Amino acid sequence: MSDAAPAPPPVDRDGFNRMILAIAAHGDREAFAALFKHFAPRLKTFLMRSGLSATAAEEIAQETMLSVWRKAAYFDPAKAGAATWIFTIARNLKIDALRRERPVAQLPSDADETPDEAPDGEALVLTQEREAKVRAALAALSAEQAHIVRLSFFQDKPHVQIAAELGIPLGTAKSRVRLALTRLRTLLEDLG
Amino acid sequence: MQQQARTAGETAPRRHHPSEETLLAYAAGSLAAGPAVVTESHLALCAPCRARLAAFRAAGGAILDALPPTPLAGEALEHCAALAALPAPARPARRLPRRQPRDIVLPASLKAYEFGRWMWLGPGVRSCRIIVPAQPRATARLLRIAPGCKIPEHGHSGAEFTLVLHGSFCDGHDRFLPGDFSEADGEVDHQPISDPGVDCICVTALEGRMRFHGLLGRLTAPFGGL
Ligand SMILES: [Zn+2]
Repeated sequence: MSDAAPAPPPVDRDGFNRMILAIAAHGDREAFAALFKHFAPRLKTFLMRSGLSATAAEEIAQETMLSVWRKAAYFDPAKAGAATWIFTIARNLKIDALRRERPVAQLPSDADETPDEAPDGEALVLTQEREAKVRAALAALSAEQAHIVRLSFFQDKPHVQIAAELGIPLGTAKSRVRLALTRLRTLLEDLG
Repeated sequence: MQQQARTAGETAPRRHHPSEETLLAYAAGSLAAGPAVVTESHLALCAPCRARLAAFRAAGGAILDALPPTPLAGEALEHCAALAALPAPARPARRLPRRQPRDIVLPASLKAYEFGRWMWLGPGVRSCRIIVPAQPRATARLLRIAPGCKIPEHGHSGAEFTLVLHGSFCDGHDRFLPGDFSEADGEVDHQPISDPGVDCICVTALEGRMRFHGLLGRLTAPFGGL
């Protein structure tokens, strides 16, 4: 379990939402610097653990933060909180970067943008509740299952690493991955 | 399309959904391009899966938020702030896909793609490639299967992802209706059969490459890529 979560710093999550809104409203550079200081180094860790080189991870972390600045007007805290929104931007840029490494057919793409529900009056509260539930669900997992869930976000074949780490057959590792993700889903439903 | 055609819409609840692994890989951006196309087509039709996706994305955000930081180069913030001060480059105009099948109604989720030509794959079975931008090796395809026809017997090295758009098929265990998502493990040889009545149209993709058995396999091999 190399990556036991460090003691969470006292983070004002609502503060991050307000910072993105301040960038959208009046190009707030101080808010951008604060967001950058928190998220860019974590994005770099995330991308390196996803298999990117330190250089590529740093580039995409910066590209993600630049997108945060440019797309701030599209940020809607009723749909997703700051961390979730930034995670999704990084996810899309990571896919684009992996595509660029291959021979490119010249066609622009918006295919990664999935349809979103129209926001309504209660959506903001529901989103904050959902994100609090998600943190509670992650905290309720056993250490091994939390490790598996994190690995699943970093790797496309998490069971391969689990099998190697625990010295268990691939098939067994596969069922442990399935169990961990199903438990996460169940926890999310129970908390709801 | 015939009158009793059952077309995928948002109305009926789906019975078959992507696995947790698939939805999480999609949320994390690690699902291969072809399977991602099939998953997107299901998400467009399935509100419960969009809610599961939103929860997985929130989990991704929470995990990102709790990661230990890795320092960036000293001037990274200044560099980024300088770029932010410049006007954003204009987005390239989105070119409309040139070739799409005209004989079927495409769901909105597939209208951004360009398609290959329909190819004969066997009695009653035709297939056409979905061209994913910048992903020449993506394996997504449309399959059109005449009523009561077998999809050529096949196994595959990775999982096979299929979404029914129109009509229905039975894989020996379960029946799959419009909007239903099938995820067949690579280890299983399976032989889906379309139901009588109307053509069954699916969007399908593989993690690995498909191997057809027997004569048909050798006949279709030259077309490659399926
Ligand atoms: Zn679903």
